[in-house]
Amino acid sequence: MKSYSLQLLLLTSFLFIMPTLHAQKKIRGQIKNKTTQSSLSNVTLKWLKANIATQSNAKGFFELERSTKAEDTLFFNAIGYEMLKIPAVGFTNGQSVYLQESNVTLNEVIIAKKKQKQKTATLGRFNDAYADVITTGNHFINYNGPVNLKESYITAKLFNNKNKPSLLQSIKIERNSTFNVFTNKLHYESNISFKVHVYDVDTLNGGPGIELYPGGWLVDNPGDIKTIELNVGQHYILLRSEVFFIAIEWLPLPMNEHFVMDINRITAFYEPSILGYLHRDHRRGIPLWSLFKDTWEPTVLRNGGRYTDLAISATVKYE
Amino acid sequence: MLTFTCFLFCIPQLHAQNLTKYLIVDSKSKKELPGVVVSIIHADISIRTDADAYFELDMEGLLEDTLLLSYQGYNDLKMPIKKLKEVKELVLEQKPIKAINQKIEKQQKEILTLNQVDKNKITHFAGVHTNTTPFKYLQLAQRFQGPAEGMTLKALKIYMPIPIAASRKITKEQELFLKPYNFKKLPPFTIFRVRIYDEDPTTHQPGIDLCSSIIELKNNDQLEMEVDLDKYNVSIPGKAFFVAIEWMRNGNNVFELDIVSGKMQKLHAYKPFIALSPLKGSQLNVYALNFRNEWAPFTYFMPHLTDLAITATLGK
Repeated sequence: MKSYSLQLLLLTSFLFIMPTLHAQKKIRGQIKNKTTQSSLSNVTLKWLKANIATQSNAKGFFELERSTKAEDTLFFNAIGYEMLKIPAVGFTNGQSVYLQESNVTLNEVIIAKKKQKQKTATLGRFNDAYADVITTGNHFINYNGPVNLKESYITAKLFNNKNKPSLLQSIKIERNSTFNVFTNKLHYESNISFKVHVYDVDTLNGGPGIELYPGGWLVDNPGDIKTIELNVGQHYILLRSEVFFIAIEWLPLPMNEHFVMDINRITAFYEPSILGYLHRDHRRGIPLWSLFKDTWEPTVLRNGGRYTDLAISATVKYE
Repeated sequence: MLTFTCFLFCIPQLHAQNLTKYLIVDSKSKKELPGVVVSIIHADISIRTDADAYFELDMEGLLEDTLLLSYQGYNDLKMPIKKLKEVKELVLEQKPIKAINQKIEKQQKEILTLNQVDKNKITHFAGVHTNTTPFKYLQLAQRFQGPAEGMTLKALKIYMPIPIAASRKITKEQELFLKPYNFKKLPPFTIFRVRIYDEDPTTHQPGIDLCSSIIELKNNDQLEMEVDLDKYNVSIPGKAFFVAIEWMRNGNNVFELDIVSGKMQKLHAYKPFIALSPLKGSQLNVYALNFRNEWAPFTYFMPHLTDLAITATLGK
């Protein structure tokens, strides 16, 4: 008899304990407006770490499972009210949560043109006539992609930008003409394609570093024109450093192939054929860098002991 | 000293010993066949029999390979190179000439030119090894679509770029452009053949020969070559047909190719070089015949250039 009553007592107590055990898995409460004390429906509440969320019902009550994560935070969010965060330790089950109305009103937005004087500068400007003289002497100056191109190849030209920071506006590339045996005339190949890249300086070695416009621009089918101009102002390329690089990437495509036929031999070049010119002041730094298997190396094109450069210019905008 | 001198004399002889001469003749008439295509399939080599119908071969290293002989109007001959040890003379059998059933109902009098080319815009050409792809083909064929069946191919115009210095007058601009290059003496001329094929009804690639006689042409550095086909009387049974350039891979046409970057590479290309039409078409019309005598689309310039710079004139 004694043991029986003990068993009953155990069972009864267990029955009473059950809902309590169950209740411990969930937290309950009500959300109210702090000033008016009215209940708030459709308030989102969320455990930030456990990432479980629910919404308060029409009368502002909510029920949410306890967070399994240690030191979690309850996060309350409703439109028109300030966000509220309560740490799990600070939340007593069944308590009321008061949200403060937010006083944010949208200000009138005034759009006005700032009266700023923006200046432009052209860097790496080249002289047309000057460049033409040089091209006739040495075929190195007629800077095509390397002969026997199997993979793409990049050569970058260094630009000194005194007016940093500035925005890159446009890039101008001057091409060299090739000879057409059918017309007996010089012309600019029209069906070609190549890529143009902009790099920031790598402060470690002074060569090209991070690409400022990843992927670069593809110039495709430019037509029979000498000067190719790229307007890149819409990309807002910010030139922060004093030195930046503009590079040409030669692509090993069939349409870029250009053969010069001698009497009994053929030399293959790759378009674009970029005009070269002499540096008047080559002391300003190594002008050209080429990418060899993921590393940039200075490339010196010499012509009669003088440094040569590519006919690429850049226009920048600064304040 | 004497031994050494003897040894020096021996060297070229040792080398020459391996070369064996073979003759190719017609099976019935025993007539010698010059210009037969001799291909060694796995080695991917192709040569031609010379004017006396001989070809020379050094069998060493090729004994496991297969020889393929092909000639216009004859059946192909395929044999293991091993078998060459036993023979000195190879025999080709003539193909039975099929009479093409022609239905010429309406005789069209007007003359029509297909595939007009604006020569001033030609930029590219085929026939040379490129840095990425070697040009290992025996023929390149251009597909033409005529307006009606049963027309006759009257003439062809083939555009071929030639070495710059071979053009008659060198302008000042050219001279400046050519300065960096060294010139050697002019090659005499280029010899090539023209083949005309019917369209194969199943593959839509070049099929049977439409001209039984050999059309061999000699180009003396002409940029545009006009070929009069009136005497061959080539009638086109269907609407579509092919005009192919057949390369003669022989000593006369060889063209040294220098690839001068890093390592100097010497390769051999064979003239002629055939210009590509500057027009970009919707469909590729050029087919290439490889050393195994198989036709395949010539996709090298795709999607840009789809036609060879060959113009065909059709008549009644």
